[in-house]
Amino acid sequence: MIRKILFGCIWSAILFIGMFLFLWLKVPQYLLYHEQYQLFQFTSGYFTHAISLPGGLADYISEFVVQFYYIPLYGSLLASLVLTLSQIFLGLACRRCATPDVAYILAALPSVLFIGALGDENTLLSFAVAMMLTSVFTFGFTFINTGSTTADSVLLIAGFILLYWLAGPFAILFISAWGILRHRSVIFLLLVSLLFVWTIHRLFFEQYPLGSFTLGMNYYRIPETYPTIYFIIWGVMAAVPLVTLIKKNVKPIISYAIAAGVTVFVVIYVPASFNADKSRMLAYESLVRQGRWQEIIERAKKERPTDTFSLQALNLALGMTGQLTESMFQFDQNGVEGLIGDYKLDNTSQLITAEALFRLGLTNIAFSTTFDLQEAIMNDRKSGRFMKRLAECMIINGNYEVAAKYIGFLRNTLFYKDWVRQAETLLGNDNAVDAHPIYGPLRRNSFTKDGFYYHSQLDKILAMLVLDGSGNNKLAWDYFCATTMLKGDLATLAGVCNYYADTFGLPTLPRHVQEAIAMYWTFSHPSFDGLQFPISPEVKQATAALAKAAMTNKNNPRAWQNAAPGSYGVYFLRYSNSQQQKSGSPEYQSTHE
Amino acid sequence: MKYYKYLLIFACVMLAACSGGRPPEMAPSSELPDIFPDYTDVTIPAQIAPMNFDVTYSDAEQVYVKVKGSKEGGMETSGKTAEFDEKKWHELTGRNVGGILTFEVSVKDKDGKWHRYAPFVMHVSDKPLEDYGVVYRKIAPGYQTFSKIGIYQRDLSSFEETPVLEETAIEGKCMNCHYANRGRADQFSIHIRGKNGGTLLKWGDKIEYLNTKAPETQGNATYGYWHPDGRYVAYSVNKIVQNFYLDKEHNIEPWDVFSDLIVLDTETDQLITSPIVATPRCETTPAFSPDGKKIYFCLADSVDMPGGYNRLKYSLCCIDFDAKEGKLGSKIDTLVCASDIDRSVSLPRPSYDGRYLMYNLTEHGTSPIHHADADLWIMDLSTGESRPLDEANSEWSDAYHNWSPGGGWFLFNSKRRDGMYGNLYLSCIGNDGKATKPFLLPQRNPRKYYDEALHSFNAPDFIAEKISLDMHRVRSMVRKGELTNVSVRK
Repeated sequence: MIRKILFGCIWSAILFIGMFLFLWLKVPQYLLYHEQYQLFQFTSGYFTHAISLPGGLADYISEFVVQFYYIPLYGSLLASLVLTLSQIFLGLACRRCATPDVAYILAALPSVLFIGALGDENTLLSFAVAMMLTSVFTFGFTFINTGSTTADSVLLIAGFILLYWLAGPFAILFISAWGILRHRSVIFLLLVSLLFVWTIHRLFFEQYPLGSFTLGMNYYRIPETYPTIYFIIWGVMAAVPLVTLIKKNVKPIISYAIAAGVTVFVVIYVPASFNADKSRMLAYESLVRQGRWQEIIERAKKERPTDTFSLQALNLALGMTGQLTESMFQFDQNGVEGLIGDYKLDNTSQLITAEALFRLGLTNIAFSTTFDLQEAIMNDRKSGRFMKRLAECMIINGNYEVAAKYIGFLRNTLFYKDWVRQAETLLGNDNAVDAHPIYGPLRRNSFTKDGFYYHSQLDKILAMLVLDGSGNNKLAWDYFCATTMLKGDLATLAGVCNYYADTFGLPTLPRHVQEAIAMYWTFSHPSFDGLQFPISPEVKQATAALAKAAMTNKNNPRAWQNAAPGSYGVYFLRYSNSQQQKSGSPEYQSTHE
Repeated sequence: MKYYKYLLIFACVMLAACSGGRPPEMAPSSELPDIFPDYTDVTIPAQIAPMNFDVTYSDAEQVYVKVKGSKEGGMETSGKTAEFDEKKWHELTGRNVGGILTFEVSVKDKDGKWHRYAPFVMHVSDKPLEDYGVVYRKIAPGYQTFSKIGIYQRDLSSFEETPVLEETAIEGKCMNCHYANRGRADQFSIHIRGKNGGTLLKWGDKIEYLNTKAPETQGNATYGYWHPDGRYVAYSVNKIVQNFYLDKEHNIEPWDVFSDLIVLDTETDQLITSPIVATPRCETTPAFSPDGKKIYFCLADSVDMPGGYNRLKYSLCCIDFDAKEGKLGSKIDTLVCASDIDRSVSLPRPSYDGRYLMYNLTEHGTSPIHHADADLWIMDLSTGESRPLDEANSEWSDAYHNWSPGGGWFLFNSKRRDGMYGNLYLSCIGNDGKATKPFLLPQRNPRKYYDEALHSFNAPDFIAEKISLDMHRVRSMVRKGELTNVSVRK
C-alpha cells in the first residue's frame, strides 16, 4: 500500500515538474500570448457574469490562472497544478474502485495531451479546468452509495446539473466515468443529461447555438470550433476508467513499464505539438511586448528570421536601439511588410505593427489598430495589454475621459494596477503628460494636420511625421529611410534627405542610408564628386565594388554579397531583380529627374 | 438577562445604522449637487424608469435624496447611489403628470459630515410615452472588426434589457441596424453581413430572409425606412468604405463608393428603382413622409474620394412616391441645399404627426456619428424653416435621432460624455416648439453602467411592444443561407 502511495506521489510529482518546466522554460511565449487575450478582474460583476453561462466557473478559474501567465514562472506553476490535480483526482477515483496503479498512471494522459494541445494558441485553459472539476466530481461521487439505484441516479443527475453549470459539457464524462467505476448502466442517465442541456438551451439561451451547449462554449477561443485533440482527450478521459475493469493485480514492473511508456510518449509528443515557426514568432512577439530589444537582436542573429512578423519585431528592436539604418540589411529583409504590416482582420498579425505605430508617434493609427486587435478576440474577451495601450493613446491625445474609462478596467487587476496608479496621476494633467518620458515626446511628435493613413503611403506619412514636427523623431526618421530603402525608392529618400538638410541642417547619415545614396548617385554620376552628403570612404569603396560585381555577375547574388557583405546595395539589387522578374522591366528610379 | 443585553446592543446598532442613513436637519447650500447623469431640470415622461443617479464627489460615502411631487406624494432613498424603488417611483410620477418633482440631495463625506445641496427639479411631462421601450444595436465604436454585438430592446419603464438578436446566435456575423415601421414590433428588418448574409424581414408572424442585391442594382440594401402602410421599405444601396485620420482631432471618415435608392415591395419581393435615384451621384438614407407620399433622402454630387472628402456635402431632397402604383416620381425637390449652407445633411427623420423633420448637419460627409460637429436640426414642415436644435445639441456628435410613434418624444445618440462612446438620450418637443433638456437613458446604477460600457447605442429607435423573434428559424435561415432573391420590377 505504501509502495502504491509513494509511486502515485512520485508519478504525480514527475508529471507536475515536467509540465511546469516545459511551460516555464520551453514555451513561455505561449503563456504571454494567452494572457493578452483576457482581462481578469477581481470584481463581483466579473464573477457573476462568468457564472451566468454553463462552464462559467471553469472559465473564471481559468482566467484567474491565466492572469498569472503575465509572469510565466507563476503561470506555469498554476497551470501545471490544475493539470496535475486533474490527474490526481481521476487517478484516485479509479484507485478507489480497486484498480491497479495502471489507471493512476494513465490518468495523466488527458493532462499531457492537453499540454500538447497548447501548441494550438487558441486552446484555452478552461478546457483543462473543466477536466479538473470533472475529475474532482468523479472522485467525490465514488463515495456516493445510498444502496438505492433511484437515489443514486437522482444524486448523479443533481451532480451533473451542478457540474454542467460549473464546468460545461465535460460533465457528461463524469456520468460515464461514474457508470464505469460503479459498473452501472448510465445510458438512461446520459439521455436525461442531454435532455437537460437541450431544455435549458431552448428555454433560456436561444441566443447561443446548441452546439456550444453540447460541446463547450469557451473551451476554445474560436466559438463553435472543436479541434480533434479535444475529442481525443475526451475519448481518453472516458476510457481511462475502463482500466478498472481489469480484475487481476498488475505486477509493479508492468506499472513501471507503462509509466516509462507514457513518459516516452510525452517526451516525443509534446514538443512535436509545438510548431517551431509559430513558437519563434510568438517568442519575438513576447520580447517586443516586454521591450527586450537587445534579446530580439541577439536571437535574430542566430535564427536569421525571414517571415514578416519576426522581421517586424527585429526591425522595431533595431529602431528602438538606434541601429535600424545602421544594420538592418545585415539581416534578410523582405520588404516594407517587415516594418509595418498592412491591415489584417485577426487578433495577432498586427501585434507588432501596433507596437511600432505607437512608438513612431502615429497615435491615432496605433489606437485604431489596437482597438481592432481587441475587438478581434474571438471569444469576446477584452485584453489587459490592449486596454492599457488604448488608455496610453488617449492620454497622449488628451482625451482623459476615455482614458479613465479604460484605466477603470485595469484598476481591479493584479498585474496592471501598478501602472494604473501612475496613469491616474496623468489624467487631466497636461503638464505631467508633457513631462512624461514616453508620452511627452509622443504627444509632441503627433500629427497636427488632418490626413488619412494609407499603408501604401507609409513612407510619405513617416516623412510628414518627421518634417512637420521638430525633425527629432528619430524612430520615424529611421522608419522613413528604411521604408524607402525597402521599396527601392531612392529618389524619394534622396529628395527628403535634401529637404531635411535644408530645413533642419545636414543630417548624420547612418551607414545604410549612405549606401543607398551612394548607390543612387552612381546611377547617374561617374564619380562621387559633388555629392552633398558625407559618405564614408568605406561605403564609397563598397558601393563601387558592388557596382562592378553587379555588372560582371548580373545574376549572381552571392558575388554581390561577397563584394559588399551586409550592405543595402545587395538588398537593392536583389529587390530590383525580383521586381524586374515580376514586371518584365526594370523599376530603377535611377535619375534625379 | 444576558439575552436582553444582546438585544439592547442589537437595537442600538440598528438605531445607529438607521440614523446614519438620514442627514440631520440643516439648511441647504446654494450650490446644486454634482450628479451623474445630469438630470437637473430635465423633462421626463411619467412612464420612465426610475431616474437613478450618482453624486460625483470623490469623498462621498452616502447620498440621501428626498423627492417631493408638486401635486402630491414623495419618496426618499439613501445609499451609495440614489436608487429609487420602481413601484413608488411610478406612483409618484403618475400622480405628478404635468407637475414637478423636487429633489433634495444630501451627501455624507468620508468624515461622516453631511452636506445638503440646493434642490433641483425634474418636470413630469403631460405628453405620454406610450411605447414599450427602445431598441438599439450595442457595438463598440470600432474600426474594421467587432467582438460582441447585438440588437437589444430595453423596457423604458424599467431597467430590463433583453436581446433581440446577438452575434452569438448567428455564428459571429455582423448585423446592421434594426428598422421598424413606426416602432412596430412585428414589422422590421435587420441586415446580416458576411457569409450567407441577407436582410431579415419580419412582418406579422412571417420571417423572410432576402438577398436584396438584384443583378440590376449595385449592392445590398443598407439604410432603410418603412412605408406607413407596411408594404414597402425604402432603402439606400451603399458601398461604404472608411478612412482613418492621422491627427487626434478626427477619427474615422466613412464614405460611400456608390449609393442609390431602391424601394422594396415586401408583397412581391420586387425592387422598385428609378434612374433618377440611381445616378453616379450619391443618394442615401431615405425616409418616407408620414403620409407615405414622399421619400426624403440625402443627395450629394460625387467628388474624387478620398482626397475630396471635405467637399462631399449632401443636400436634403425628396421625391414623390405613389404607393398604389408602386412608383417613384420623376422629379427631385431640394429642401436644404448643401452648397447654400456649405454643410452636409444626413439622416432625415420626419415626426410621425407630420409636423417636423429632424436631420443632422455636419461640415461634410455622410456619417454624423463620426463628426464631432454633428448637430441636430429641425425643420417645421409647414413652413420649411429649419433651425438648430440647440436645446438638445452638444459640442460632440449628436445623431441617430428617431421619433416616438406616439408623438412629441424623440431619442438620439450623443457622444457628449467623452467624445467616443455614443449614449442614448431622450427629449421631447414642447408646446412651444422647443426641445426639452435631454436626459441620458436611466440605468439602475448609472455611473457604474456607463463607466464600464464599452459599446455605443447605435441606431436607436422606439418600439411599441416587445419584439419576439423565432431564433431557431432565424439561425436556420442564416446558417443554411436560405435566401429569397429579389428582382427588379420592370
